[in-house]
Amino acid sequence: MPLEILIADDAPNIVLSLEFLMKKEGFAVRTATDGEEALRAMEEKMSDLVLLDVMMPKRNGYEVCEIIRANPQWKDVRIIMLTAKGRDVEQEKGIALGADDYVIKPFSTRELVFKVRTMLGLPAVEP
Amino acid sequence: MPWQWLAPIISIAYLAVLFIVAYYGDRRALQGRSLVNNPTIYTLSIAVYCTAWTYYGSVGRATVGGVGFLPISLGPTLIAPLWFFFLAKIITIAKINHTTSIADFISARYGRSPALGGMVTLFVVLGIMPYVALQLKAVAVSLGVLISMDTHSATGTMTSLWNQTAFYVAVCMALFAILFGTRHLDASERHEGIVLAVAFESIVKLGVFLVLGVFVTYGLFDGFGDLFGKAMADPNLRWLMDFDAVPGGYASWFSITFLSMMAIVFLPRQFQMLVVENLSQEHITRASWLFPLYLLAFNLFVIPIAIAGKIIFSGQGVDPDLFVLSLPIYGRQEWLALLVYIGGLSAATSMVIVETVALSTMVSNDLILPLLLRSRTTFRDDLSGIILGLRRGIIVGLLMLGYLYYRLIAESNTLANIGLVSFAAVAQFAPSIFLGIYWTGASRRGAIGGLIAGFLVWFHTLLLASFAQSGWIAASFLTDGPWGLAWLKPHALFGSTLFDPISHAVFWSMSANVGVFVLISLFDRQTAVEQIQALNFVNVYEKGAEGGNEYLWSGFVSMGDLKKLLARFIGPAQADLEFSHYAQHNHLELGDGVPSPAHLVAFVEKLLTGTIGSASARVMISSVVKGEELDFQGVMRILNETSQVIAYSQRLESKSQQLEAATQKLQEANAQLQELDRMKDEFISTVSHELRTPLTSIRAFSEILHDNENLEISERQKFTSIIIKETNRLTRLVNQILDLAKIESGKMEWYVCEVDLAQIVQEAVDATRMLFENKSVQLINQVPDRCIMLQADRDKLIQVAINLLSNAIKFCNPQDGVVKIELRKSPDAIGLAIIDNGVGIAQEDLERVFERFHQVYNSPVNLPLGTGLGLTICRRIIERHNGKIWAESLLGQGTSFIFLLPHSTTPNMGSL
Amino acid sequence: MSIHKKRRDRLVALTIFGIIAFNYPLLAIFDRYETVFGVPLVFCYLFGFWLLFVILTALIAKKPLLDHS
Repeated sequence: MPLEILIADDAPNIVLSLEFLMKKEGFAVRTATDGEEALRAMEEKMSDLVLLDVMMPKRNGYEVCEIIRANPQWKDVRIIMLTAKGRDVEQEKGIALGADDYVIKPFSTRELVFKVRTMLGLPAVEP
Repeated sequence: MPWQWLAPIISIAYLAVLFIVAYYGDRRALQGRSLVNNPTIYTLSIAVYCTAWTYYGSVGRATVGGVGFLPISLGPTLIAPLWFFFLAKIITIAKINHTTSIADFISARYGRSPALGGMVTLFVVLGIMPYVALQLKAVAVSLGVLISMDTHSATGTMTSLWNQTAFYVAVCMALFAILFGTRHLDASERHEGIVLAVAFESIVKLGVFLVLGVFVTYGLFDGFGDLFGKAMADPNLRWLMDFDAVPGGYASWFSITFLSMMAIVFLPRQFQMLVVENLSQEHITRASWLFPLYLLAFNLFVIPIAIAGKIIFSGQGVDPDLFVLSLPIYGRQEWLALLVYIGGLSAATSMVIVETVALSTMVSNDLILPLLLRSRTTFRDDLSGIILGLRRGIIVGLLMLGYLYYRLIAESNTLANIGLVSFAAVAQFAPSIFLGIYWTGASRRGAIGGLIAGFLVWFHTLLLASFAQSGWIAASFLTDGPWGLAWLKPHALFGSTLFDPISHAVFWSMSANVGVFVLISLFDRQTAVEQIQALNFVNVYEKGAEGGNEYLWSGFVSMGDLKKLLARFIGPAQADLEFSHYAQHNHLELGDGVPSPAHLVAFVEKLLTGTIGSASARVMISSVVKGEELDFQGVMRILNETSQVIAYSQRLESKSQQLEAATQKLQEANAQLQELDRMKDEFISTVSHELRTPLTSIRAFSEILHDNENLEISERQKFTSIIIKETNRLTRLVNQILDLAKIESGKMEWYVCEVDLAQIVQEAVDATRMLFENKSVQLINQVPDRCIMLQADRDKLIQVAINLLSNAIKFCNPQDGVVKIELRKSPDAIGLAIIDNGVGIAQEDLERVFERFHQVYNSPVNLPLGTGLGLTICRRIIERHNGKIWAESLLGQGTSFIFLLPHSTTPNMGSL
Repeated sequence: MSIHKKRRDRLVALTIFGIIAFNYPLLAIFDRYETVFGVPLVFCYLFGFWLLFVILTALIAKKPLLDHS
């Protein structure tokens, strides 16, 4: 059974590109366009890794991250925050809330793939 | 009896007694059992005020001016109650600053100005020397009368013998002053021996005068009733009982009262006794009433003696100034005459001794030392000996000067009023001192200007005038004015003939002095040292006992160098002692190479001030301290600590209401600023986000296209079109951000002209026609097709219309969308309403949709189109036209965006 | 008001009072050819008031200062 990735972002084009990239790596992919949808998806079925955008309607990425980390059942879920606000504070906040890594938009696709693979313990090529 | 030789011997014997008294006083002081630390001794020492001029001259003045001699004593009486404040304050300041003369006091107050100290000293010497000469004359003349024991010799004519006596008297006094006034150099400059001797002399002169008064009133006559009865009966004397006898009348009475009020404190000998020799401020309490009582006693018998002399020596040509001596001779009481002579000698010697000691300190510290120390930069030798020698020389010089002056004008009448001339001279110091201790604004240049102005007037109206009276200069100087300038007549400046000469001089000199002083001070800028000294003086009570000089020196000097400097002036042993005392007190580690802390430097400066005066002390300290003399922070610290700040805060307190209001305003402004700052930060962060989002898609898909060459054509095209769309969005966003920034910073250019609203609607509709068709949204344009003229920027208005139309297309019902355009009118405005039939906007969001980037996170459905800046820009544009834009909505039934523009007013195109 | 300040105010008032009493026009009132116990009125007034002034000064000045301790 392939590892599953949940992509949560409110920009449809970004979701589209991420979906393409992850599927190409052989992961199963689910998508969500706001915070609540992302949480519902997690409740439905736990993903192995979440690509989580910070600025989303309804519930933002920080809240989602916090809720995931508050649930002991989901402690093994890897979270990579995607942030478009360039400030250090945002990144630090993400890490503080329990994210495993963060990626600043616009990101290098190769680097993102590398990060996802390493985090899931898969062999990866240095970008 | 052979008075020829007995009188001089007795004089010498009396002086010997004085030496013993003074020696005893000094010894007791050395043993630490001070005799002088006593309020009565202090009071008696102040009585140095009563000189031979008072002793002999009062009776003389009474014979021609009735009670006119009294103001000399009434002035001190009237001001004595005020000693509790101003004298106490002067003493406190003088002790803290180790000030030892009036010149030093003034110099220290005005930024330790050497020029001011020197000036005051010069003026004092000029004003006081005639007064000293007067004492010598009194001694010489009285001795002459005593030797002859003949009332007929008391005519005031001089003989060579008298001149010789005067000379020897001067020598004796110089010797005394040198022995007890300059025995050692001491930081406090106190001389207990002299104080004790003067107190002793004060008892002698008063005692003798009272005995004489009783003898004249009850021995020669039958009591007061008898004396006054005879006087009232005699038409030649009767007028003396009247106030009309007072020369110059009430004006002169008042002027002389004022002058003596000043003189009792500011005459150098008075300052020496009252301030420098003061041991405890508690002593002022007794002095304030006992001294006036002393004066009262001294004056009690003046009129009876004067009347008695007038009656007894009527028509004999006896000098009234010598009545006190002639009357006991007439009564065949030779021993009483001798006592009277001794009393006069007491009055003269105490005055001369104290005056010369005080003057020698001033001349050496404020005139010669500053020049000497400036001319020589290094001193290897012990200077204390040099300074002592210098002072001794000065004393001899001063007395010789007094003697010469006496010889020069001995026979003239100039001496008669010389006391008052001296009083008027020292009164010139009053403004500098009074304003100096109560007004921080009094400046150095003001003090110098005031003193010079006052002294010029004094010199002209009193000194030169008295020279003219005694024939030294042409009498026309008095009658026609100098160079024939009538308005400069010394007794009628500017034609003011209302006053007697003394009142005239007092009025003009004090007016010039105070006027120039205050005027300059008001427009002057004080230096840092001046400001510090002003605060130290004015606020002396608010500061600790040692004042706030600690921060004055910030440069570097080693303890060794500092001690060496001190040792040169007070001797190595004494310097060692002072240093170890100070170190012990302040828990200081001593060491020659250790840098001195600022307070140690200030301490040494104070010690030196006592010895060589403040100006010279400053010069000496600055010669060893390397680096900045005064640092800005130090000054600020002192300024902060002073009560000026306290006073300021008190003033603020009284304005607390205003302050609170101001504070609140400030807080509001601050909060607003913080909010603005936060908003700006937020804006940048949001812009960053908005720019990065399309960039992310563009980069991601570009990389996907780049890395996956074997993509299917359809997929490839899909990705490419996304890139293009996102690029367009990015471009639009950048343009709008720039637009907004331009509008908000006021840099947008506006082209206002007559525009037709209908035409604008038409152009906007044309521009959005494609959008309507693509989304199959129906457009209902209800704007009438006729001219609706407005003053506006055409392109900007079209931009608003397009924006609102494309928004309406975006948000209208996706199934059968309808957008309506209507004309809106109000009495003074006209505009458009653009109405859609979409889901509507919640009431609370109606205003917020105009905020930047509002839609991005808050729209009910995800609408990736748009930048979130369109409505914000619309609002800015409409506001620039003095118009209004707002939204109305019913949830589920659609939204109307309405804007109205005023018909008439010119649009506000300036910056907001 | 501290006792010190009260004393100060009294002394200032005393001085002002004295200056008025020892000057025109008050002096002129006593400037008459009259005698009291054989002594001219002006002298009586001047010396009498002088003594009064000294006594008042002493009374005010000698009042113990409570705030001194």
